[in-house]
Amino acid sequence: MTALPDRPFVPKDFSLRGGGIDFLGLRWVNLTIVGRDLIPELNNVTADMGTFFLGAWIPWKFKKLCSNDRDYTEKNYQAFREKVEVALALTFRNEEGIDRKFGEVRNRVGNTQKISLPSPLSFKEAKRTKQNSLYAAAIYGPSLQYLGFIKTYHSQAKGGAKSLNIPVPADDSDALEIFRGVDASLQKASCYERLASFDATRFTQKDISQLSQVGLDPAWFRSRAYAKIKKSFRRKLLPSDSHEPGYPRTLTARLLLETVRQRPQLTVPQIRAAWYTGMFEDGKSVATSNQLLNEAATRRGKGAVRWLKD
Amino acid sequence: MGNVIEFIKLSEIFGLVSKPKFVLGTTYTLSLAFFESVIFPDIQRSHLKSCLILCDAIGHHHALSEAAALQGAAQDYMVVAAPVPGAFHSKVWLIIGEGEAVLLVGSGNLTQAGFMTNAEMFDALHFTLQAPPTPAMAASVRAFLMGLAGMWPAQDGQHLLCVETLSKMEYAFADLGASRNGDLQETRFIHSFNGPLIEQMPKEPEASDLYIAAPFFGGNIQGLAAVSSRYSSAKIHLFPAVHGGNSTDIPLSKVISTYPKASVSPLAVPQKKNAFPHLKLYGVVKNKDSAWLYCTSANCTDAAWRGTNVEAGLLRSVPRSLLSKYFTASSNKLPAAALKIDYQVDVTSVLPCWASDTGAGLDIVVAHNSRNRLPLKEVTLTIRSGSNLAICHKPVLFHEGVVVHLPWTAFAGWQRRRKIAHCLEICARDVTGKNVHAACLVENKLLLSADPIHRSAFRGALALLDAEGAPELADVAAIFTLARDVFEGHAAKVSEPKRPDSSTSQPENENQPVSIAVWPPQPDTTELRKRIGAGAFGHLQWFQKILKIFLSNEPSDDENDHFESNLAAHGDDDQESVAEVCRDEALDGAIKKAQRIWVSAYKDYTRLRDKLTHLCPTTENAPNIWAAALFALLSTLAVYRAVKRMAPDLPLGVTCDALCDDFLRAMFNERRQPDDFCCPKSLRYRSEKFPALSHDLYCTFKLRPHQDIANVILALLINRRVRVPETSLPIFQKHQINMIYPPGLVPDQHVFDTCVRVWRRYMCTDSANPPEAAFEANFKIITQCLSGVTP
Repeated sequence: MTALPDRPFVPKDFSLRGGGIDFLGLRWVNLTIVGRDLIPELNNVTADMGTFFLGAWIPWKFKKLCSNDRDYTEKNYQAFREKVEVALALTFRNEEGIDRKFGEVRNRVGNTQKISLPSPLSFKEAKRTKQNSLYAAAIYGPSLQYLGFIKTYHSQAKGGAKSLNIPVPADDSDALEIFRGVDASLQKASCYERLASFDATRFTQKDISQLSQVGLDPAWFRSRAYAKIKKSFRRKLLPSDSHEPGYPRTLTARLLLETVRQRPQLTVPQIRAAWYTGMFEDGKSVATSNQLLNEAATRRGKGAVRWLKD
Repeated sequence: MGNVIEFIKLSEIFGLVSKPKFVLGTTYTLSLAFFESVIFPDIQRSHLKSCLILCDAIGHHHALSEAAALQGAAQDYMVVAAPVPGAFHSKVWLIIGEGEAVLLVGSGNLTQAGFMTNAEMFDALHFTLQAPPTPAMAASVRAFLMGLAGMWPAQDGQHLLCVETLSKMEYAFADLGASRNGDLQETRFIHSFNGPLIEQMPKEPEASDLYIAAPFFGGNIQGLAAVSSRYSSAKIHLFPAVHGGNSTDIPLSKVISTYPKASVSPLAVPQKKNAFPHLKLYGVVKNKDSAWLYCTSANCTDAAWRGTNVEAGLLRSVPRSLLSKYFTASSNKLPAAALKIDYQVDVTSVLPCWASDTGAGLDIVVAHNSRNRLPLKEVTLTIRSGSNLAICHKPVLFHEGVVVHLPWTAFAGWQRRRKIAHCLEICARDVTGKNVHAACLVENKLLLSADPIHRSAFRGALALLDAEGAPELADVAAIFTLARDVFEGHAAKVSEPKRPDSSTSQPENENQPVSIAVWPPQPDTTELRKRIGAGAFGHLQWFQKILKIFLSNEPSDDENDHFESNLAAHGDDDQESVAEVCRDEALDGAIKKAQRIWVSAYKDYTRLRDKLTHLCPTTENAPNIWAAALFALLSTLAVYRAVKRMAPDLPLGVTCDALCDDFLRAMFNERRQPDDFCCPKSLRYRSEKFPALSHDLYCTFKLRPHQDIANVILALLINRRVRVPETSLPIFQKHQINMIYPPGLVPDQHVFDTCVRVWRRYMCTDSANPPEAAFEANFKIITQCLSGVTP
């Protein structure tokens, strides 16, 4: 037991040095505030919209492939999902025949999988686990839902039995626009029929290269040819209705644009500092003509760093 | 400062009281995320009745920016803004346990900086029954507690749990008693509730030196003037903090011109050389041998020493030589620039309010002194919980007074989440049309005011049914303690039931139960409270609440998925090997924890189960037996499932089916006692073969279980039939069903739905492919056979 001194004392830091990351749980706070006020339900890996397109297309296409409830099973879904996911990850490999004219995606989910082609495409073959599936909680699973591409990750079962782990895709016009746009693009590949099926056929490197040039490489959707579905994605990402839970994302985007418009050369730390202090480094105010944006700037600045002070 | 000044972890001070009953913390600013992450988990909570944090209104406002990330705020501990005209600035921690208490007072706020990284100063006292506080100290601590409670007008206090809690803390502290003697040199707890600080400082007309170290001076020398006027003969040694390396909060030129003899320099804090010196320390040399040292929250401002701030500190008599250790000048030079702080904070648009969760909705109370701003118009109420929010718009609110109740249904789409803080925000126009806003955490008064054992049991029940994480061993044990209390009649000793009286003009229906049942969850509480007393009523209320959760709460469908995804969250796509190691370690830990939980729970259950074999029900405990026994079984089955979720391959030594069958045997079979059993004369039974409990309860006490409980028993019976199919209903099963359902009651669709739900949740071992068709078929057989069956 600590014996108390008979005089005032200086408190000693009792944080666990080297005892692991996130000792104070502040990452959680940070993520929560970022997730609530800045870019709700998303994080900074969402730069690659093509991954979202494909992640949303998989359950939609599966539903289309099923003709009845006998097809619509977890087993079939898993086989189809794994096939597309493994093929998708194969497009990240720098093999011959893969054109990178639209660059590379930043978050290459599954790029450490180990599979030699030709081969059937499954997680087992690729020595992958479901923890590094596109739909895992730590990867794109929640974001796909929060962006409104997936209604739920469970399909209702008959007679009140346990629900099936098959996502139900969204059916709004923007979501459908994206699903159909992705599908139309992938159909350009000759091996599309084999990809969009329940069959466990073998895929070659040529198949993968071909698929990658029609959108299975998510970076491909950066092309201007996909302007229409990008617009749909933008409406999903930045809703215009202020009652939408994702509306703070719109505010953040507008605030960012407004700030950069005022000072085009700002770096990210400078923007953050400007939002926090309400002024640029030369002392001029960041104030915009929009009160909502001004309030947003204050919240974003103070909310993100307040606990680091005092 | 040399080594004479100790360097102590505040976490060790919190650990001095082995089993705290009350924890009080006061602070100006606070980070509740820090508190929940670092401090609260280290507070032993097995006996903790209440933990209360009081803070400044501005600190509270800022702290709510973290609300979305909080779990226990207003659920496990209270956080309330103090309604004072000045700054609520004291940093006092009072930890009261059984026969001991610790008083910790200092300069650090409840933030990471205040507790760890800043250069702060604290002082602490440990009181025990052997070393109780002096009379003056005891009186001062109690005055502080009363002063805190008195911050709220009576009209507000009646709505506030924190006021009641402060009163309890005062009583608990008073239990420590006080020593008989005190002397003028004893340590004193000086705070603003006993008057301006400066007037409480000891008068020392001969004081030769006055040392002041503080970070804030209010941008003027008024505070310095206030303190130095008390010791006008003393030479001033001033140690202002340097802010940002380039400014101080006091006009140095004015100090020099006003006090030409004063020495002014930065303070050296060797233990924390590069830390910001946020400490507030005052030293007065009384004579050549001794000095006073005041470790406090008070900055050197007029508001702190003579104004409306709430401040506190411990004043000690120390050897004079010690002062030079605390007040050592740094070799650095003080910057001449003045710190720019906007001390003007507009709080007129802030409406003080409190909210509590009544279960059905929200009770919102506006401070009594803001009643002239009511009613509010164009009101938008936002309730936040994690990243979820729900909004309710009201054209007018508070038109009938300062209290309003809103049902949860008023918040469209609101889904209450457990184990997470709820934050209410109000934006509106007041009666004058001015914009006002209010924000507060929504208190769960039932949880906050619960006994530790009930809170623990409740937490355990939620954890057992939740897909998230694992229950704590102590929480699971608390569930069984509650079950045992009810089982043994500690919770509900009802009065002797009225026997049918032959003189009664209306004949009693012998099939109707005449005793009060423990279940259902909404009894006539007034009458029941009168009968069983408030303490037992509390037990009963929590017992019912937990049983209700066991029976009605729908757990997540994807429990296994969630557990796995939690593990997956440790991983990273590019760091699979690291993730594998993490997973292995996590799994290993989960297995060990699961084993401990199961061993403890099964041991508790076996004890209760064994009691059923030997039990001879009395009028006192008979009404509780069905409910308590089933409660224990469901708790065990819930633990079984939770443990299987945590460690699927862990051998438990018993199966779920065996547990269910054993329970049915315990309740419906005759109970043969050991061969050497000698039946006592006092027992109602006359042989070593005791009748079946269900039979005894029904025939002797006219007791059947409540229908909600009966439905679970029916599910158990059907579950057995699913495993051992039979086309007809054997006579013994008819008899069993007649023991639980009144004649003429044929289970309907609602009963079926309940049975299926309970069966799937607790009994069905093949959750991936439940034999629901077989269950339904057996339910139908029973239903058909029951039609027309009479007892």
